Amino acid sequence: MITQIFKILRVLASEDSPMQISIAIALAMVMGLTPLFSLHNLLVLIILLAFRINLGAFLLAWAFFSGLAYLLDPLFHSLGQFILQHPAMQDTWTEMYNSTYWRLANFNNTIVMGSFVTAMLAFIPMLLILNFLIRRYRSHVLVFLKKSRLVTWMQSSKMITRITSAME
Amino acid sequence: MKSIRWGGLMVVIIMLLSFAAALLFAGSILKPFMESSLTSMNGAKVDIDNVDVSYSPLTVAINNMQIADPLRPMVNTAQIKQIKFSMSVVELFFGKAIIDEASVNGIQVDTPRRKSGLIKKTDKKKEPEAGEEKPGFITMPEIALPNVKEILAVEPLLSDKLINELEEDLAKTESQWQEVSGTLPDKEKWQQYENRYKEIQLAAKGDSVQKLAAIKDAKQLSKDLKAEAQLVKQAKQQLSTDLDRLNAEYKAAKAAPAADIARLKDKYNLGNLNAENISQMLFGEQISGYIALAGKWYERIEPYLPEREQAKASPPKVERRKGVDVAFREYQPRPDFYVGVAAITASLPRGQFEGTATAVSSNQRINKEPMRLKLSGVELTNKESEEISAEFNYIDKDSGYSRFNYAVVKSRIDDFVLSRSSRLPLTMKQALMDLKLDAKLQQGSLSGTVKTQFDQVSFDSADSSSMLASSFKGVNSFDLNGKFSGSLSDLSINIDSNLDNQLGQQLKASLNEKKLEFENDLRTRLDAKLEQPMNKLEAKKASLESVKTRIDDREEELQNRLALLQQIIDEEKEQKKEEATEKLKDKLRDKLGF
Repeated sequence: MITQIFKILRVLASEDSPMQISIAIALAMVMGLTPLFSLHNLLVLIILLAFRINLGAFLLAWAFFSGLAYLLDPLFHSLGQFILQHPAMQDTWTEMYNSTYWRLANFNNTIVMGSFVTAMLAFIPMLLILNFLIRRYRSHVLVFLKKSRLVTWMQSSKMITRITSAME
Repeated sequence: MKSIRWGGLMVVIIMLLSFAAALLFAGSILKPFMESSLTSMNGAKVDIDNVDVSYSPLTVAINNMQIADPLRPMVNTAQIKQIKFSMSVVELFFGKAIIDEASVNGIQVDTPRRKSGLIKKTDKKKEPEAGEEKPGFITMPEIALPNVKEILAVEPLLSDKLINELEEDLAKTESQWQEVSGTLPDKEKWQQYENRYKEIQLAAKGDSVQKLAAIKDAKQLSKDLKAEAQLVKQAKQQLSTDLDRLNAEYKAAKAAPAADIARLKDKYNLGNLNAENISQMLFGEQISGYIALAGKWYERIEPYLPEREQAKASPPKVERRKGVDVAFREYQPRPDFYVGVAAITASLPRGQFEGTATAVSSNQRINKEPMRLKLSGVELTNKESEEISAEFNYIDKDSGYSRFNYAVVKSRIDDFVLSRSSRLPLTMKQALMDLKLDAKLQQGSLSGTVKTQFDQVSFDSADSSSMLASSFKGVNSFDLNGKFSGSLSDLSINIDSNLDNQLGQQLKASLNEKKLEFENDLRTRLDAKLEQPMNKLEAKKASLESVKTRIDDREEELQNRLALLQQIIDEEKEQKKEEATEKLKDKLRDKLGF
């Protein structure tokens, strides 16, 4: 737990821009909440590899959202079932069901649909909120922390460096 | 450009290149996967030489597939030279294998394997060989004729009994008659009667005193002769009764051998032999064997038939992290697996076959057409034509059925062992066979008919002395029709054939000949056995008959004598009457003065 906290702190204190970290966490949310072997996750992976996105933040967030997805699984199933069986959407789903791409996306699965809709709805707000929060953290908390005697001592202490590296 | 991670991009490119390489070597990747899946389905090893995959259109060619027989690991149930099919890539993305056209070439059955196809040890039960006698199976009738000499040695005969009884009776009667004949008037006594008669005759010609004495003597002699006649009459009556009884006993003794023959014929089962159920015995087992083999094959393919897949379908269960796939209406519904047309060629020991399998589907309710299979012989050995067809119709789950038809025309049969029974070892040396089989399997119940015609038949039996075996020699053609119904594990088969009638007639003729032979032999031996006692009886009977003749003669003589004596007495009476009348006339004349 302490390690995770240190890692988060390190990511937040890294040179990457807040947007890079926010995008990493938002993409990790998509990949973590939805089933791993889904077509959209291939796109997430390509974006992740091709663009400069903070991998550390992504991995940390992915682990977190995977655990959260397990807990929210029944909710995703119910939501997906509701959406897929909604009478107003039947024509759309039927059309999509007869399309190769959408069938590959496995959209007609209740968990895929429920989790994907949840992730998509949360993506932009998550991105903006995280971006805002990281900026605020860096301009206030991080500056304050850097100036504090405790952090100066910790940075100079060989013992702390050893403990953190051992924990890593 | 700064935001692009070049290293990561390279990883993506490498991944894409790896995917392309995987497509290039798809055949090598697919081969072990296919072998493993097919082996687990078959229950014994399935080996593939190689798999070729080409794209645009996606075509898969599986070369030299060897399917090992789980029960005979060193033999391939089937070896297929090549299976080639083109698939729709789009449908494949939907998880469906849709094959419009396929070809299955060079199917061979029962080919030997270099390595065992066993994947796990199984307990093998030794199956009895065809034609071997099995417990519970109908036994062959015993038609061998018994030995007459042995029969006569052990069987108690009515003839013997009656002859002995007659002999005893004759002996007893004879001794009785010896006694009776002693009481009858002998020569001496008869001479006395003669002398007395002659004296009476002389006295009757004398004077009146002598005449009176003669009458008196005649009356006495008549009385004596009457007493004798009464004795003779009684003896005659007794003798007649005895002779009647003896004659009846003699008749019964004479008829006894015939009764003995009839009884022995009946006892040794020479009366009611027939050839009923011979065809059931000979062919029932063969037909059961073929149906059992077909059943075994059906059991092996049954799991892959659409019916089984439909039965497996159950309401979707929600699994964590997996969810439920909601199905929507498809514009062009297709089952998960579908083959439009598959061309098939097979090289079987019975000849070269060609045919098609159409609408092979994993769910006929979707494509709404039954699966059909048709194979026809093209280069056949020893037959004119051969056709196999089948229909698997499970469009409607409740009324689904499988139908099989098989027809062969003028199929030559050589050295076909029908029975290895020790009582009737029989082989069909040669025959031409026409066969038509129709079978339908519905809801686990099999029913159908088989019609067979055998022509130019020649049978051969190792036991040429057997009467039943020799009956087969007269059969040149016969039909054999069967009806079967019931579950595969408990099938009831009824066989009807004119072979039974033919054999029955042949058997009857042979049997009649043998019966006549047996009867003649029995009669000759019985006659020889009874000749001496019967001759003895005849002689004794003749002796009694002579006694009767003698008594008859005596009686006749007595009656004659009595008649003569009566005549003398009557004449004397008449004379006396006339004399008395004359005397009365004279007295009246004197008194009246005429």
